[in-house]
This record gives sequence, structure tokens and C-alpha cells, in this order.
Amino acid sequence: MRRLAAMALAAVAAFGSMAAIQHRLDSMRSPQPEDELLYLPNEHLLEHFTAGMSGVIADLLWIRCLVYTGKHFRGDHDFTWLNHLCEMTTRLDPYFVDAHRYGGVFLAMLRADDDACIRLLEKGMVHNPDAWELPYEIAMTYLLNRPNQPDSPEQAARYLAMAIKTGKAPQYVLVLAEALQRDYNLLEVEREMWESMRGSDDALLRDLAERKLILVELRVACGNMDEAAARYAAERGSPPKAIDDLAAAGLIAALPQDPLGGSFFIDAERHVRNTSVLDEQVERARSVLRGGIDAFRQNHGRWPANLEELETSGGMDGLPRHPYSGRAWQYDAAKGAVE
Amino acid sequence: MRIIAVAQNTFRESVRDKVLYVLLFFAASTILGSKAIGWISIGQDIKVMKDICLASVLLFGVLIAIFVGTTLVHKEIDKRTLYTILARPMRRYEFILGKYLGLGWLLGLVTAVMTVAAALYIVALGGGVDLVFFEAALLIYWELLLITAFAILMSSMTSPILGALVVFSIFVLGHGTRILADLPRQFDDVAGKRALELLYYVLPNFSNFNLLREAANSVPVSGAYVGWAMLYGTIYSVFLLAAASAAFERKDM
Repeated sequence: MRRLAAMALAAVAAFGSMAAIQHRLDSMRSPQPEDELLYLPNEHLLEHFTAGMSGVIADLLWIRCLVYTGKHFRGDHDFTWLNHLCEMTTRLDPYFVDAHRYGGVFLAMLRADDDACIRLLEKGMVHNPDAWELPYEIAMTYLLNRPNQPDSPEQAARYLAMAIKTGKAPQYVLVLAEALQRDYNLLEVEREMWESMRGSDDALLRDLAERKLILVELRVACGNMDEAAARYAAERGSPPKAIDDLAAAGLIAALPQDPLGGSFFIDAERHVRNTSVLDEQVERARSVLRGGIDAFRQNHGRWPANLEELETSGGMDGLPRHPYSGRAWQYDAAKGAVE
Repeated sequence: MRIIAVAQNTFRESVRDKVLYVLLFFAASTILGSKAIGWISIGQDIKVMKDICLASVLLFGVLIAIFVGTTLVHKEIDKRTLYTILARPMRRYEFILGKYLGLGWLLGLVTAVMTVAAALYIVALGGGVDLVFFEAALLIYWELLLITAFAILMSSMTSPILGALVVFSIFVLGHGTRILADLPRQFDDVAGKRALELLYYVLPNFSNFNLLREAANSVPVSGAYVGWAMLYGTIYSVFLLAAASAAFERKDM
């Protein structure tokens, strides 16, 4: 018993003195400088001498990258070594999608280095062509970091189309891509996107792509007939009264067929429209309104008294305009229904 | 038949080796501890666990192959049991092949146990294990067989410590031979460039067996690739075993 107590005492004394010495040593050494990262070997060489453990080393480097980013985000916002860490991690494990994705986000959002971000994400796309996240983040970088660059919307739309092409992108990416293409009239990009989706294994996606491609062609036809209507007005001094006037004047060969059963007409603003295209826009705008109405009910416990209340309550920034010129939304305040 | 008898004996002898259990203990600790590292990786815990589990199977398998393999022949000479064995109607190459097979069985068992344990652990913690995980484990085993062939060669030529150092160096460098095929532009006008490129095809390329990144990220790998890599390993191992047999035939005892 006495021997055991002596041993315990000796252990306590030994570990106590070691702890004191460790504390002293720690105080004598200066804190580890961040520039230690400078001494990380060149990633080209490191890749060759990991003895098959490149995946594990990439994981550890990624954790180091997260710690580094977190520390500087809460501190001096100096992200000098961020690109180096991301490059090394992704070089060691080129299939590490999240390291490409979040590394890119950190570079764009924290270091404001969108060139490095796009480079990293594009490199990731080469090795991970099925990862929708990488082209999506490039699109976001174009939209958020380069809003003043003239071709940013088009570039963003192209990358969103690539994200959708993977067949794995969630619904919101599709909605964003469509909105972007519609707003900037990027018909070619949109056509390319739906063409690629038409090759999907999923019957539902194929049907959707077929329908969307028809709508794209109908919008193209509307645009062509709009130009014909402008020529008609220039030649005759007054705009055409009906769509058939364009064919009668020889400005279009014939009225295009609408496979979706809709028809072409000239609206009150003298633009050529197609009912299938407009009906689809009505559906989309109504979905936005329904979302606003539902959110209003959740926040206020009742349906809005009228649609304008969605705006005045701060729930929506603006009400979508009815796509049909001269028509207005019909709202039933008792049921919260909009038509 | 004589080869099988030596192999069975080697297997039994290796199973009793305490080094094996020490290494297996560390391998199990690393596999179980992989979850802790996964936690701090923000949403990548399963990927990190797969990486660490397969790296443990490889690293501890290599250590077993080296520590057990490089002592196999030397131990028999040291204990003088080799003289009794060779006094029987047995060719020296049969002894080498028997030793190789015995250690190969042991490594097969160890690799299978560690892989299945790692897979069950990953599944139990909510992850998924797909075909490429087991393809990676199979190629790790093939890599271990090639390293064992190097260890047996060294065991028949030199001391265990020197042999272990040489084989471990071969293991590390064998994963970096790709650099010889991707020489930087500075080498373009250097006369030795072709020789270095030729060396790439002569030195063992252990990267052929490395599917760890693919397994961790669930990137599918074709069966044809696995087949070709196994064929490469088999041919290289046969060559090394032939060299080990030739060296052992000439050894003066």
C-alpha cells in the first residue's frame, strides 16, 4: 500500500514538473507564424511523395485551410495563403468536390479574388464533370463578384446551363437559370441547356425539355414576327392590325404552327405574342404570387386583403405584372387564391 | 505440396508474431479515430473516414509486410531451422515461394478483416460503401503482395534492418515514379531525359494500385483498370520472386 502511494506520488510529481516545464517552454517560444505555410512544399512535388496517402494529406490540409480561414475571418481578414492551401488540397485530391467548391467561395467572397476562384472551380470541373456545384459557384461568382462586367449574365447563364446538364442540380438552379436567360434574352444558352436535358435518362426531364424547347422556338418566332411588324409599320405608316396582315404583306412566309395548341396575336402594345408562351409566364408569375400570399399568411395569420398588401407589408419587393397586356390578376381575399 | 507445407507453417508462425498484433491494434485505433478527424472537416466526415480507413489498411499492411517479410528468411537462418528444412528433399526456390505464399495468406486475412471492419464502421455511422471501396482494398492487397515480394528478395540478400529500410524507401519512392514521366521543361535538352523516362517503366509504380481518392469520393473505376493493375503487380511479383530464388540459391550457408 505504501509502495503504491509512493508510486502515485512520484507520478504526480513527475507529470507536475513536466507540465510546469512545458508551460515554460511554450512561453519561451514565439507563437507559430502563419508564414510557416510558405514552407509547404510545392504541390507538384508533394503529389509525388505522399506514399499513396495523398487523400489523407488533402483532408488534413483542408482542415488546416478551414482553421486558417476561420481564424483570419474573425481576425485581420488577411487571406494571403488561402489560394495556396486550396490549390494544394485540390491537387492532392482532385475529386474533392467540397474543397473546390468552398475553397472557391472563400477565395471569391473573403479574398475577393474571383480569378483564383474561377480557376480553382474550373479545374475541379475537369475532374468532376458530374458535380453541379462547381459550375453553379462559377455562375454565382460572375453574378455577385463581377456585376459590372458586360458579359457576366451570359457567362453566368452558360455555367448554370452546365450545372443543369449534370442532371443533378436542384430546382432552384433551374429556376435561376431560366430567370437569367429570360431577363437577358439568352436564347442560345437556353436552347443549349434544354437540348442537353433532352438526352436525360429521366422521362419527366425529357418531356420538360421537349416542352421548353418548343417554347424557346415560339419566342424566337415572336421575335422574328416583331421585326416583320416593325418593317410593316415603316413601309405602310401604320402597324399591322392582325397577325395575318404580315403574311398577306409577304413579310413572313406563313404563320408558324404552335405544337402546344396556342396562337399568335398582336397585343395592345403592338408586340407579337404567343398564348402558349404567355400562359407559361402566367403560371410562373402566379407561383411567385402564391408563394408571397402563403408567406403573408404564415407571418400574419390571415390572407392579405388585396395583392398590394403583399408589397406594403414588405413581404414582396414588387408584384409580377400580368403577362397578358391589359389583363390584371384576379384575387379572392376569402380563399387567398389568385387567377 | 512442399510449397504449401512451408506456406502453412509461415502463416502459423506469422500469426503468432506479436508485431502483427501491435500493428493491428494501431490500425484499429486509427480506423476508430477517423470519425474524430471527420468531425472537424465540416460535412466531410464520411469522405475523411473512408480516406483514413483505407490509408490505415495500406500503411499497416505495408508495415506488416515489411517487418514480417524482411525477417522471414533471416529468422530461419538465425535459429538454424533452415538447415533442417533444406536437408529434406526441398529446393530453395520452393522454400522462398512457400514463405511468400504464407505471408500472402496472412496479409489477405489482415486486409480482409480491416476492410470489412472499416466498411461496417462507416455504414454504422451513416455512410455508404460502394464497389470502388472494395476495388481499392483489392488493389491495396495486390500492392502488399508486391511489397512482400520485395521484402522476400531483401530477406534473402541482406539483414532485416537494412532490408526493411530499403523496402520502405521503395514503397515511398514507388508512389512517386510518375515524376519521371512528367519531367519539367528544364529537362527537355538534357541527355539523360530518355534514360529517366525509361526508368519510369522499370521501377515499380505503386500508384497503379492507388484508388484511395476514388474510393473516398465514390468515383467509379472500371473493372478493366483493376484487372490490368493486378496483372502488372503479378508480373512484377513473379519477376522479384524469381530474383529472390536466384539470390537464395547462390547464398552460401
